[in-house]
Amino acid sequence: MKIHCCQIIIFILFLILPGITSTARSADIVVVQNARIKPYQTALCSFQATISTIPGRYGKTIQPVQLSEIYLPDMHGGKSLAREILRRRPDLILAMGRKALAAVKDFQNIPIIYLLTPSLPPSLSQQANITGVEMKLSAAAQLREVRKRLPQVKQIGILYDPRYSADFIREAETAAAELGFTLVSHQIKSAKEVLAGLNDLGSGIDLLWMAPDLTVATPQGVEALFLFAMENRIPVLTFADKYLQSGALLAVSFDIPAMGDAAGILAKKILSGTRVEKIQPVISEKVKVMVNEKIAARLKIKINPEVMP
Amino acid sequence: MNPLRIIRQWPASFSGRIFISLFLTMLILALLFNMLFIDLQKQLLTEQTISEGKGQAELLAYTVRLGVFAENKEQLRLPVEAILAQQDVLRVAIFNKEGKMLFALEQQENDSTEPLPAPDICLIPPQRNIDSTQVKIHENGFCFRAPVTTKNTSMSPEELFFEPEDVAWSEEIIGSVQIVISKDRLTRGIKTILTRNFILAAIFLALAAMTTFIIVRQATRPMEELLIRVKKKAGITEQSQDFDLLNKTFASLIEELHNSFRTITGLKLNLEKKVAERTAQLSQRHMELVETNQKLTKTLTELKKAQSHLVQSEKMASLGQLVAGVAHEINNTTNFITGALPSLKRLMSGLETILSRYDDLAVKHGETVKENTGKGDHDYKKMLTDVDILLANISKGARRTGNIVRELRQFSRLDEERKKRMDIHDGLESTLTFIYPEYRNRIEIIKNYDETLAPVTCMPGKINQVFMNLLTNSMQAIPGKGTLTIRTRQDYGRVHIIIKDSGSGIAPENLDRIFDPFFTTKEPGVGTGLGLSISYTIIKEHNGEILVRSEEGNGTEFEIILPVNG
Repeated sequence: MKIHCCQIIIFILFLILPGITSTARSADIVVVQNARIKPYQTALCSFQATISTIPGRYGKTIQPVQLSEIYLPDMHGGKSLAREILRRRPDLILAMGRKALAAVKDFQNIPIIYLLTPSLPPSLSQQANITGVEMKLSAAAQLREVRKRLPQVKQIGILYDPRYSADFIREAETAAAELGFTLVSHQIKSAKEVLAGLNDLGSGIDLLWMAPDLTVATPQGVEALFLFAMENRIPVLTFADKYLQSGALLAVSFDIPAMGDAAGILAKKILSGTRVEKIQPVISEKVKVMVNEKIAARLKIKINPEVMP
Repeated sequence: MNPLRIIRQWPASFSGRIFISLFLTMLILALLFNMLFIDLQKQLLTEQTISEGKGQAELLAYTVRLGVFAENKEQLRLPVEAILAQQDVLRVAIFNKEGKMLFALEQQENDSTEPLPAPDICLIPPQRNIDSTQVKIHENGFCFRAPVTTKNTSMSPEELFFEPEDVAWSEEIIGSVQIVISKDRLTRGIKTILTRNFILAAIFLALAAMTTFIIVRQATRPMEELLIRVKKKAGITEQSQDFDLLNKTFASLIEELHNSFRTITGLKLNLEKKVAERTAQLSQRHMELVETNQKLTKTLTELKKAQSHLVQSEKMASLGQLVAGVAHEINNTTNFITGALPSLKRLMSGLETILSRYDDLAVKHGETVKENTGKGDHDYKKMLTDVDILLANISKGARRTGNIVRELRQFSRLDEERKKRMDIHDGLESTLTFIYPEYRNRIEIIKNYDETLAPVTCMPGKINQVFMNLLTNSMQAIPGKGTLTIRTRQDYGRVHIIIKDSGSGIAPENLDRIFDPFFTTKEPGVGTGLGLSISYTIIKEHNGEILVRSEEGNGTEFEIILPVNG
């Protein structure tokens, strides 16, 4: 009698198991990248680490995730990319970079998360299946880091093009006032005006702030800026660590692993069943601070040792 | 001798001429190489000046790119002044992309006596899109124009933050720089090179002249001494041209050499002729000696043969006399026996008749002869039969003795025969017929007769006897079946009869003895040992030869050689 009962239980389990396994099928995520660059890889690693433990839809199993990467330079046109995405039928698309987001925006039935994508067009931010991590570096955050590390700085000079950085300057002025800085700003309209603008700022400033501005941060603008800084022995605050080797003293930039984590959390929510239109884009407040000690030594600037990274 | 005269005459001397030739050659070569070297140096100096000017122009273009981009004169001043501070830089000018002059400076203190080139002439017209440094060589200077480039300013927002992968910034030409460099430095350099080269060439030529003079003097000293000896020998006292004297001396030496060679050639030819003659004579002598040697060898051989024949003949003659005497005595004795045998046979026949009659009578009287004789165990008939057998044996022995005697008489030439012409083939055929039972069904006779064989003058009976002896001997030498080849041929008036058997051959040790009388290898009673001896005697009697060739196991070949007119 016992043997018959066991046989019946095994038979029932045999019938049920396929149903259970179907609920725990792996989530397919396609990662579309602009290019093979290190920041993307760093962010993707963090993203991958965050989504590796996505709970199943019933909250009882760990849902495996399969990531497949697509590099835009490898694709021969939009049709090729579309065929590839349709073939894979992903549960989610992670777009890294503006071009990647523009390339996948037409897949409106698939949730899309953008990451490391600056200056998102408003049309895309309104699209229902798109959410992501905003790439906005807060002026206040940068100034706070300056205050911590360079307490001797009082007057900060900044060049900007109002077409790109009007909001940023407004935020900067507010933050500067709050933190006790005097912000000397000068408008320019082209990169040719950088040199003259710097001369207008004069050598009385304590810090030259390089704004994330497409007019100021051109190669010629950067060169003029660092030449001016070198000639007048003024330290430079910048927004990306790549300028440290050009002569910047302090770089307050995005924390890319944190942005990858934030994107991973968004992906978890989407794969757990939350509708995309209910998930707002997020801003990663965490920043990364780097100091060029050689420049500090050359300019004889003392960095507050308590906050040395 | 007056030293002045020596100095005046030295250029005409042998060593003087060599020295002048060498010195002139060196001078010309030095001048040529110097000119070539100067030309090369000039080219190198020009290239170096151009290269330096290009470098300065490109360096200036790189330095002023920010000032040109911003069209900021203050930014341009410092680099332009720095370039202008360089030696021989006469003018520096900076242009924007459209060709508008942004900044220009000229050398204020110009030491050059030449007027400065006018800016319009010197400056290369600014063109758009030049992508490399250009050079224009002016009468008074070099003008260089280098493009001022900068990276393209269009950027994507990402590029603000990240360094793009495989970044390939496109270069944009935003203006140009022009530098005018004076030719003074080049001219000074060329002058320096010329001066140095000519000084070096002069020093070199002076040293070379001294060295050449010493070497020529040393090298031509034996020649000078030779010339002195030649002059002494020729009795020349005045100072003549060395080369003329050498030419004459050389010509006369050549003539003498030619004469000497001619004499040597003549002597050589004569000598060769004499050697050839002597060689021919020697060869002839040698041939004669060889011929004489051959003749002597042949004569010696013939002499040996003749000696051998003589000894044999003497031996045979002595033996013949002995045999003739013995044969005569035996014949007489045998005649008694053969003469008595018929009478004895008749007597024995009569005795048998008498005894038969006695026997008949005894039968009539009832007794037998046996009883009468008292010798019962002797039968007279049997006794008579034995007597008949004994008589037959005596008769046979007598006949055989007679035969021996006859052969002995033949051997000792007791039987003479007249010579007549005989067909040798007929003789051979008749002999073969006679001895047919001897070889029938056993030996194959192969005949190889020369049909042109001439009849031979001989004693046919004796020659046939020779054939009989040789053929019988050959057949007896073949133990079972075999072949016997008879061949005839004729040459030089002689007939050759060759009889060859396939028998057992003759042992080498017996070969010299087979013609000896009574020598035989047959069983006792089978042969007398006289056949070959008689044959030898008969052939010799006919002035012929009998030869034997044999190899044990491979048969024997007899060759009879008879003169056609024997």
